[in-house]
Amino acid sequence: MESFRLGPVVLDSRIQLLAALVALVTVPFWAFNLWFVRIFIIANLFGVYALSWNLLVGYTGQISFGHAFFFGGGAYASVLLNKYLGLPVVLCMSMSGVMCGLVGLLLGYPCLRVRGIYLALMTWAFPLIFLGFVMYFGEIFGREMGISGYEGLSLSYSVNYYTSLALLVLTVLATIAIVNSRFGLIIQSIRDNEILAESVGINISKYKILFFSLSGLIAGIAGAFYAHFLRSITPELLAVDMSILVIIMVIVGGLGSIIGPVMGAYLVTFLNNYLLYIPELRMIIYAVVLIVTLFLKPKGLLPWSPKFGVRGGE
Amino acid sequence: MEILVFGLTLSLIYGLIVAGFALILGASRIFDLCFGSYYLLAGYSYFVWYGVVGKVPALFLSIFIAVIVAWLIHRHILFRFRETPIVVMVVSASLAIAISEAVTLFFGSDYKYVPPLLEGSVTIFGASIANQRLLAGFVALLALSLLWLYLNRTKQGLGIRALIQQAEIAELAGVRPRNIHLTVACIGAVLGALGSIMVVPIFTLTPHIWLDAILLAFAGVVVGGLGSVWGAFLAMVLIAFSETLVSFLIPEGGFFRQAVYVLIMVIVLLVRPYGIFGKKEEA
Repeated sequence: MESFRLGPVVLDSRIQLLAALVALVTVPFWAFNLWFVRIFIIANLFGVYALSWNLLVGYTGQISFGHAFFFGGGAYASVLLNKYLGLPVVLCMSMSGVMCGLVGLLLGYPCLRVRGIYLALMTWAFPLIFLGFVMYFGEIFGREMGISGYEGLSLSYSVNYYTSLALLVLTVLATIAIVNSRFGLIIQSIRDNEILAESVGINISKYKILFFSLSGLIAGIAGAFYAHFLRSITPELLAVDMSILVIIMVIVGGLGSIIGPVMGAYLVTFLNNYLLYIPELRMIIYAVVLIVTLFLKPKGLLPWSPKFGVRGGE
Repeated sequence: MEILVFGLTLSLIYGLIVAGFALILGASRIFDLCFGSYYLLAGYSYFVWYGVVGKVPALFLSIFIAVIVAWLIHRHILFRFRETPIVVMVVSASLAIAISEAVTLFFGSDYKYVPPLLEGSVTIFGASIANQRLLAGFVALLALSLLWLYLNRTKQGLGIRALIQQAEIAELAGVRPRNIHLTVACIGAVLGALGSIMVVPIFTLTPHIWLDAILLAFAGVVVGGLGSVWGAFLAMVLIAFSETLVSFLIPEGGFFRQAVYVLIMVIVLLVRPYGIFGKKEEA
């Protein structure tokens, strides 16, 4: 049904996309102050984080309520590698991403046994258990105070900004490539009808674990970058808020679309940091935004993107 | 002996809290994380009112406030999204966090002291136990018995049980899911609020206790089986005893409370994905 609209929309949205990209690339030149650039960097990283959740939930249908495990875990892993082993920051970030991917591989296996709400509960437990470790091994993880005094990626905001933007664009392109590839088709067929997919000979366990791990890898890199940008981390990165936050971004933006979650991340980050800088009201604003969005547009602001011929989640 | 007495009262109180959550989940198939907020709000409302109107009126006032909040949230927000469990979960989770932050905004995030309804302590079989704990256990027992009578001896209770077992057929037989849904949400809020006020003088009152209640409820429904009120209660006996055991064996046991809940939950999910007492179904 969408196909007859596809022609003009492609042109339109390509121009829009190009304009958005030009605006994003030139941010350090027209930004009002450093605070503004800082918010853009955080928004880019949250965009990557949102895309990782979207890849898992929007395309494979495995619900995760504990994605902070990968985000916070990536942050802790990278920071510890840098602080105690003195490895260069870029290496730490990639290593922590790979570690998160491997942990995702391990955790994906038990997650196969459960689905739906049970899976949500199970994933909810992961960051809490990790939080228990952080509190218990206080000498290494720094308990509530967290860790600081490690290297950042760079002191320059421009370098940080362009690296984060590159990471975001790379993730968007990778998601498009994956979703439109054979893998993407397989994984979406599993989401839409697991029994049918299994009956035509697809090894559903393999693909589910693979995407669990992939999503963990992306979230881990985003978390590591976030940690090295802020120069100090606290156990709040593992809190329930962090897991719920990414879900709000994706649901507000549109589950299963590609530009949607990024838009959601930008919206949430800007509402939080620029328009209304009141930390205590943070979650209240998110909740209001979420509920208003769901009342007005139940499928999110940008439910699926015709630009890439990618069909949405639900 | 201490372990036995403490474990027994604790399982009764936890049973009260989890029964509320399991009832909402069973009857309306809604994963209401705001349940933690009713628990939280009742505790804080009791903290505000006990000095003004006295302890017992404050108790009833707090329960009333929790019920109003539950009714508003279910009537205007959650009922709309009941077809999509994941949306319900996200919306109620963000609401619960928002309410907890609103409480932080008004009362600060420090620990609040709430005096017990009954002062002093008694010694039973050589175990010294605070009166509040005994009272809490007794109230929980009373409330659970009333709940049992309500579910098994009244017409509305029959409707609720029918809805838990076979939603479509119950609807065909004339049970109105919307009414039952709201009633059950209010009963759940009453149980949660009552549990909160009983427990708050024993434990602590901070804006984060909603998470404790929710994790407890998760563990209860997972171990007991989704929507099974009595399974959840038996699960609570298991959890309360393991928690008491852990806190007796490890000196800084309070630290591990949440970890105990989630570990039991994960283990049960791995061994029996549909709960110990649950029946297999597509969730």
